[in-house]
Amino acid sequence: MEKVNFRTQVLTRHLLNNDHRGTTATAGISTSPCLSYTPPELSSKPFPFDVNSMRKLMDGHNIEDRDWLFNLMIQSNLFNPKLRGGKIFVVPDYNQSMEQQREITMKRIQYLLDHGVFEGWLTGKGFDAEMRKLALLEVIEIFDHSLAIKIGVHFFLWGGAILFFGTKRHHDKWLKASEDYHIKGCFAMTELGHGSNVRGIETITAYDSKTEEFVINTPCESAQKYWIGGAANHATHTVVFSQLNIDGNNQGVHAFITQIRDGDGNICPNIRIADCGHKIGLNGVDNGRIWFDNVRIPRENLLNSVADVSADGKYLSAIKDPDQRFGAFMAPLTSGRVTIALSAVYSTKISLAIAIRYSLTRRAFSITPNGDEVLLLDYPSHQRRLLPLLAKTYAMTFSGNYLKLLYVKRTPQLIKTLHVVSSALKATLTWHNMRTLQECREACGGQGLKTENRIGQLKGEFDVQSTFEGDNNVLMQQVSKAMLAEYVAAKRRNKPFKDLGLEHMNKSCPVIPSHLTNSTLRSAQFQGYQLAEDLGRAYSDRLILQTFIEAENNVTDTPLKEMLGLIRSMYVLVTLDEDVAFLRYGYLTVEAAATVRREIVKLCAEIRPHALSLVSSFGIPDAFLSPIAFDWVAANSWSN
Amino acid sequence: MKVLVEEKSSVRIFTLNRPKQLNALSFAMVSGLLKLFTSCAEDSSVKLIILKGRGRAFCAGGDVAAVVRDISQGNWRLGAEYFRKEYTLNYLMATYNKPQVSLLDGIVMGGGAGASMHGRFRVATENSLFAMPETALGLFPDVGASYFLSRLPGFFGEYVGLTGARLDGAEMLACGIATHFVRSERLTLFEEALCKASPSDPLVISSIINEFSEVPNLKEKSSYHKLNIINKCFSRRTIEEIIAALEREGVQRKDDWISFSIQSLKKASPTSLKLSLRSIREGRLQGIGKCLVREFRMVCHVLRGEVSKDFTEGCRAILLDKDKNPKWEPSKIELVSDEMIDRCFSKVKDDGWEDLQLPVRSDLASYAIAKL
Repeated sequence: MEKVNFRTQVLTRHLLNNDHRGTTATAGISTSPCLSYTPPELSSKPFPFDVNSMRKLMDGHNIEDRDWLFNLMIQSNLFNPKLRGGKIFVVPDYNQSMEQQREITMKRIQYLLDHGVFEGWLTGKGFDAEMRKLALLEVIEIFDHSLAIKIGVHFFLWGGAILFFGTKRHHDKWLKASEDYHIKGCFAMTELGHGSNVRGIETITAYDSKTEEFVINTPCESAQKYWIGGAANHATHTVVFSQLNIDGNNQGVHAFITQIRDGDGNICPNIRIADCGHKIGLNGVDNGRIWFDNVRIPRENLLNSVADVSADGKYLSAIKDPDQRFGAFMAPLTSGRVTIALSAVYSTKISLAIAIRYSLTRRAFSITPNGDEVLLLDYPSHQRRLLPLLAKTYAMTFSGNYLKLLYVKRTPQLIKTLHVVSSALKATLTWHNMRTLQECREACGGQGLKTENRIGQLKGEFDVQSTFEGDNNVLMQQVSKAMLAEYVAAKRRNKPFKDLGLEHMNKSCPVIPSHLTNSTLRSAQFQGYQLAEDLGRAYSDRLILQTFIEAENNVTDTPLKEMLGLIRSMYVLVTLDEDVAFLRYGYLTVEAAATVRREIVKLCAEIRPHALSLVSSFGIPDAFLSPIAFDWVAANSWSN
Repeated sequence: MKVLVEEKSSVRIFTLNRPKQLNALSFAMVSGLLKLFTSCAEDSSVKLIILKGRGRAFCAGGDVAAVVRDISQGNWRLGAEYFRKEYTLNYLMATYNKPQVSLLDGIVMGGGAGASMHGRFRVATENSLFAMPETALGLFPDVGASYFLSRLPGFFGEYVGLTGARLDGAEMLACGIATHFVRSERLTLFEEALCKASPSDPLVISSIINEFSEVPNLKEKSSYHKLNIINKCFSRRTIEEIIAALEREGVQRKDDWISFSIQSLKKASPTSLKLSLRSIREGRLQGIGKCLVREFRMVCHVLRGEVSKDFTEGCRAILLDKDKNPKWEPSKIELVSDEMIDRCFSKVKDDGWEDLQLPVRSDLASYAIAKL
């Protein structure tokens, strides 16, 4: 009886419950005042800084080119526009089969090609051309990782190999043809048995001086080329990496241009190609496996910028040391690490923009009897989950911009620094991406599982970033190794540290005051020293902070600067809080660590009113986010 | 009274009543419409708004001549206030909580598009004539045109906005500018049917309109048949590239439409062309509110004549002296720099000037958002 009474009371309350809008009971049973959507602007402060200026600072360059490319994609049906809740979204259809996804990816490439997107990507020269290319690739990445990788393999790996490993005869023959997609290239380095250890690959190439041809062979199953993007369906040519045997001597790894398909798409003789099969993501990329059965190629197909073979079969190289030769050889591959690091940051921007906008409109639980339920982002715990990640994304954006410029303006003297910086940032930024995607997925609850809401799908699409173009763990070890080597060498030389960002080590180690005040915690100087240690992760964290401070110092607009200072403090304190090394090595006392933690909570509350302005500065058009970032009630309504 | 008001059950019919000036929107008319729409929003006895024009036009545009007069008297701020009010009206219409049906039986250009395009239903007739002719005047397609033009299929919006192309009723329906097409002789019956039913639900309104509407055939020479060329050329990154692409097409095939389009571009103000292109491209990526805020900044810069005085010169040549021979300055597209255009998108550095303030609407029903 108790239950019946209770139930009756509840029903009565529903029927009589009227609403703030004053509809009268004479309307009969009408829909009860629903949980309705209110836009994020209503719960945010007016933007304290100019969002366009922040965007320019973060994107850094070629803003109009980026917007032009966004425009191109939005206006074509090839990019899968969908109407949801009165807005158009363009997101690839991940429900298509693997074959369909591969085909539509090629069609999209053709569309972009027809509209002049790739003009100058291989034949263009100079700083401006390079920066424009990188900007456009970043925009493509925002739409679809598969599309970006397919294009990246053709232009940056295949095209890059021709540019940097090849010489004039290769440039003349292949660059324009590649830029116009008369040929489709791919990059055959990785094998079933060798990925990280490139020098251990087993494909073997010999020279036939009678016919002046190289003969490439896959001697055993573990030597088959694996994960070769573009090879399974479309590529006509490839750069094959192989051990080179001259006169019975193994001269190490070299690169050779080989045709694998003819103009009609038939696989060439003595070449076998199989599919790598369905993947957990990136099914728009046709990854293939390649076997070479004594394939003969002309001598000119050796990419000979570092070493060559004469017509009569003599091995020639200006670099005598094979280690050095390999190093010079591999240097151009940095571009992969750069583009991957940058794309990782954009992926976090998409997920944070969606998750934060959603949390500014989704409510759960009231704290007062008749009050509205509370917005997700008004919960300190929700703030604690998302806002530190937002701060890290800002920080990593600035480090990414630094890396980009370092790469584009590279000089021989900076090659070693570039290698260390690109390795550290590729690892750090891609790991940050996977962590952010997971957190954002959880922060969106069930909606995070819907493919069309993007965040969850991005996990599968971007997971590969932590292991391709260099396994993150191996890369971080390379960074540590470089740090140790530099330390030892500097000590031996008895000279101060320079380069590799170790200059701060020349000063005496600072003592952290045991009583940390708010202003101390937020001062850049304090923050700079505290992260000054050595080895992989610490190196990355400190490098990222340094690039952040530099970017902040270059800003003259006061509101922008103040906001950046706030975010920078969040970045540092969260880094101090999360990395146990600070406690372990005694750089932070237990009391100080507690103070840091409390300060983070304070910062969350200070940043919360500006969360919308911060994600609005990402410059990602609404169409490239997803329905839960906008009116998700309308998007899910029956009439839709 | 320049805006007539009729009440027919839960329908309010607003008629623009300035037929001698083709219903050009004066400051008073814009204020009047703003008051009417605002009060009807709160009035629960109003379910539907019908907007139409008296005479042979729906509305030929904003009262640009008055604005030019203000500028010549050194009073650009007064002109700016006109646009501030007009864009506020546009935003109110775009986010309105009740359906608006506009009967576009005649000329609908410039400000007239602003007063109708943001409404849910736009009914064209065989008399309709649509255009956004601002680039010929030294202005740029405003009134939220960067929002609605950019949402037309492909790059048709760039074509319409840059060349000032004229579209008839059939073309308006084909590209989405009009949601329906009804023969003019059936309009009276149609209005009566709407008023009798007084529906608030857009689906019901739609079904009523469908009883009277048809899908007319496009003319053979319609520009809408040229979408392939339009998409190829008007998707190019810059004005220079657009013209070059059109000229390449013109070499390959003899087509009056191509040469006419090139001519329209070459006759327009070079500064206007660059402003308009960037406006449409940015508008494609923004919601209606952001578009209007941005357009307001742009129009203020145009009124101040900082970067170019083409607006005054265009109005003189086309509207006042009517010699149709404006002397643009800069005179060539290559002479219009990126910095000049950038300036027009920034805030105005003037004491007391404020960005367009638009209310954040909490009850944005999804159908209230302009659909194209």
